[in-house]
Amino acid sequence: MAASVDFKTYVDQACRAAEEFINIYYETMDKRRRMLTRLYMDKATLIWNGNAISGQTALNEFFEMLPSSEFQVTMLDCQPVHEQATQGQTTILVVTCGSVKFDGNKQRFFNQNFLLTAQVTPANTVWKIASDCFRFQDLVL
Amino acid sequence: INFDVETPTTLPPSKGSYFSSDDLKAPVLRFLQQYYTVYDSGDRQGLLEAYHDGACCSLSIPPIHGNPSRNTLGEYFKDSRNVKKLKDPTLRFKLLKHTRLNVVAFLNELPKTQHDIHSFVVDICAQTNTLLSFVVHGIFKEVDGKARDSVRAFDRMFVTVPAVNNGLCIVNDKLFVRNATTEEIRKAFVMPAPTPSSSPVPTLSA
Repeated sequence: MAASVDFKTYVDQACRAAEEFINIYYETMDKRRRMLTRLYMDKATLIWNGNAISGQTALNEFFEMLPSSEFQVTMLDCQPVHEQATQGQTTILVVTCGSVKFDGNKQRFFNQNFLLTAQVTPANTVWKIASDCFRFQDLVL
Repeated sequence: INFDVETPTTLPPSKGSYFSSDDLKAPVLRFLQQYYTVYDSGDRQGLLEAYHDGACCSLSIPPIHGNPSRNTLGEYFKDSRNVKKLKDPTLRFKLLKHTRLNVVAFLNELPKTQHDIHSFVVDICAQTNTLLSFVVHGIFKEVDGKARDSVRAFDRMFVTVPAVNNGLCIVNDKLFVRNATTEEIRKAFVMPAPTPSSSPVPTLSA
């Protein structure tokens, strides 16, 4: 196990990445929806209120038919994911809650849980969504 | 006159639990059953076996308006880690419980609970050879203290690694707690609670 001084570095890194990520994610969702899948890995999975959507093509189709949105995030938390789970691939867990108004629908509260992995190239580090789990708080099943 | 600029206003219908495959459903449900049996037992020390040495855990609640001491989620307020509001890196670090002993000591301090396992909705969101991650949504009530009988809703994300006997060992645990809505309170605990058993508490994954 890494010494705790290293762990603090991971925690700081996770917080910085998570804060930047949610700003970009929800702004892209609300204002530039067509770009949204660029934030997802090629083989990413979204579980949206129990519906599973995998891969770029299916994600594109899904986001295209989703009504336009206005998200407000009120809570954000994040953790570095343990290296034993990720085979050394730097990964963070990011969770949010807030409210969303989809066009033609009433405002609802939601929770969203992401796993983000760092794609490191010699030039830079790009965080991509490996998995995304979204639920309205008022589950209507 | 019509213009072809119709925009969608219909949301896809919500579905229940997503288990991704039957092979994963059984171990995840068994894990949750065992985990919450210990969690609700009154002494959460037994959860030590469910966590990895290097596990971490954090809790958050929705932002509170007004005086936190008068809020019904006040018991959770001092531990709530909302990175959107907390900008101090030292406090952010302190509120993230790290290592198995600290995680279980922290969980042991949280209010005593009874979970309604019939309310659980589970989404398996990621799986690889080394990782299984799922989110549990559900209802619990507090069974002692000043908020006794308060009904809460929770969302909890677990990241686990494989353990012996097809078990799961928790490396990341993220708990979100809020007050239940009137509708959730009405529907909660309608199924009879499992009969208390004198058999020993089932051992968890490790």
